[in-house]
Amino acid sequence: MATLIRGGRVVDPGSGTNEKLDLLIDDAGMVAGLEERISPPEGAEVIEAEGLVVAPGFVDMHTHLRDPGRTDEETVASASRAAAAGGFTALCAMPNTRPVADSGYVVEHVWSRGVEVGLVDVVPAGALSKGLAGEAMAAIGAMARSRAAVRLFTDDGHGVQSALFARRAMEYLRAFDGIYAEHCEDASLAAGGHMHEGELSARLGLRGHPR
Amino acid sequence: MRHLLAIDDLSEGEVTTILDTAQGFRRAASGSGDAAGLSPLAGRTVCNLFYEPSTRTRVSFELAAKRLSAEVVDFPAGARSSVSKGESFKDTALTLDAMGLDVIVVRHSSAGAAHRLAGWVGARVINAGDGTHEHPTQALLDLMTMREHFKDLEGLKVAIVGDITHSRVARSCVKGLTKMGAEVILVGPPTLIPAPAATTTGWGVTVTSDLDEVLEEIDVCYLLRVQKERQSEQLFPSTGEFHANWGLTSARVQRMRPEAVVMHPGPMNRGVEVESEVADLPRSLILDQVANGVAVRMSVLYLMLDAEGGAAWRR
Repeated sequence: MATLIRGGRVVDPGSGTNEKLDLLIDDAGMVAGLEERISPPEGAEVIEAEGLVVAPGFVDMHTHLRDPGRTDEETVASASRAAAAGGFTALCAMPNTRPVADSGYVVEHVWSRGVEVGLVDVVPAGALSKGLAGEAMAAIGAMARSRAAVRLFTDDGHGVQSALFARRAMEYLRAFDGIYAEHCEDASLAAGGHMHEGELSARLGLRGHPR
Repeated sequence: MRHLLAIDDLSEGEVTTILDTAQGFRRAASGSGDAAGLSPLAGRTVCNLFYEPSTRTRVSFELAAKRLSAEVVDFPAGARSSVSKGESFKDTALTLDAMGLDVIVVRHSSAGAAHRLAGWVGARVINAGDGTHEHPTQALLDLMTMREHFKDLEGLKVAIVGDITHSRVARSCVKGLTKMGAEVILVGPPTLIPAPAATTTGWGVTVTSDLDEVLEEIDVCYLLRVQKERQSEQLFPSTGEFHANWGLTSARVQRMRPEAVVMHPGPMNRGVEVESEVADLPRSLILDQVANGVAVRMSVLYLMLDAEGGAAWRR
């Protein structure tokens, strides 16, 4: 069944679009028309979007879904609802869960919860190192070949501290078409910091992260 | 041939001479008693100077020398030698050489050790493995095995799979195979293949991390041992993951062409680079390689030392 979104303000930074347009989506879910006025085809669903913004779904590349381990704080369901309410149709879930997403099991768990909730695309990222300890490599190949089909790998939350480990991980990821994402923080400098190091931290007597 | 230090030093014609001569020694090499009449090296002395452990290479050099009636001195440079008192490589070599040796077969953990040795001693030197640099007689016995099986090395498609970076066998085989016109594909995790192998033309190979992609087109799947210690060097996550992605499993071997074969220089880590049952299949030439090792080493010693053999070499 086709869908016509009528009278809304279509905002698409990718194509530089920012104007009132009708948007037609065909029954395969593909954009079939984008014009000032489109007549609804036979049997199409019409959504009146007067005064509303119509945009491609946003992607949040860096979210903490806290599942498994801290579902008192957040769950895949609560995060999906918040995301959908704000126009985000895809979330990339960081691996610093408990247990850490360093195996096929944990990433498949997060992925399948996303499918169960069914509101947005939940795309798990995998850890680079086992337990985020920065020493032994996580089961990168297993995560890439799991149902979660992980492509983004990161030690978010800790950051990789060893240049040799970073090198080996970057090399190894090539075998699985992986993307290496770095949490850029040198632990030896940043440890114990609560804010940026500067005038305010100096006055308040709070330890800061130097820049 | 004064020394055999690297397969890099041999021409295509010289390799062919060694392999043809080795073919002639095949029956004698099997130790069935047919060697009884052979004594071209009678009165000569061969010393196995081994600074690293070895089963195949050391024993096959000893048997090769003995089957040609040479004397053998086995020198494992370990606890029972003065190496344990701190005697240097050079002094050890000069000391043994001073007792009158014809050939020193040397294995050492430093790349270039055999070349250095050749500059110090009067004896001829055969490199039995120097660090991760070369192992020429291994490549020669592998070429012999492939030639025996496929008749022609030209155009043969050989995948070398596993830890290329730390393998002297891989380096010698790449040089030997490309020299004889075979097509070499290096397969393994990117952390275990030297980057220049893919990016420079000097190696003359293709490189991939996808074993499944090349399985159906290769004639030979040549497996390398993956040392379990490499896991702690952050080169790959686990031997389990290595096996899943680059191990020759039964499922993978079934996808190879019916005429394609499996080879391994040994020793094997069954369950890591190769599934245990696969190593024992009829299409696995692993034990043929070992048998050919004796023949090839007989050939090298003969061509090096025997007057007639020397003539064949110069021809």
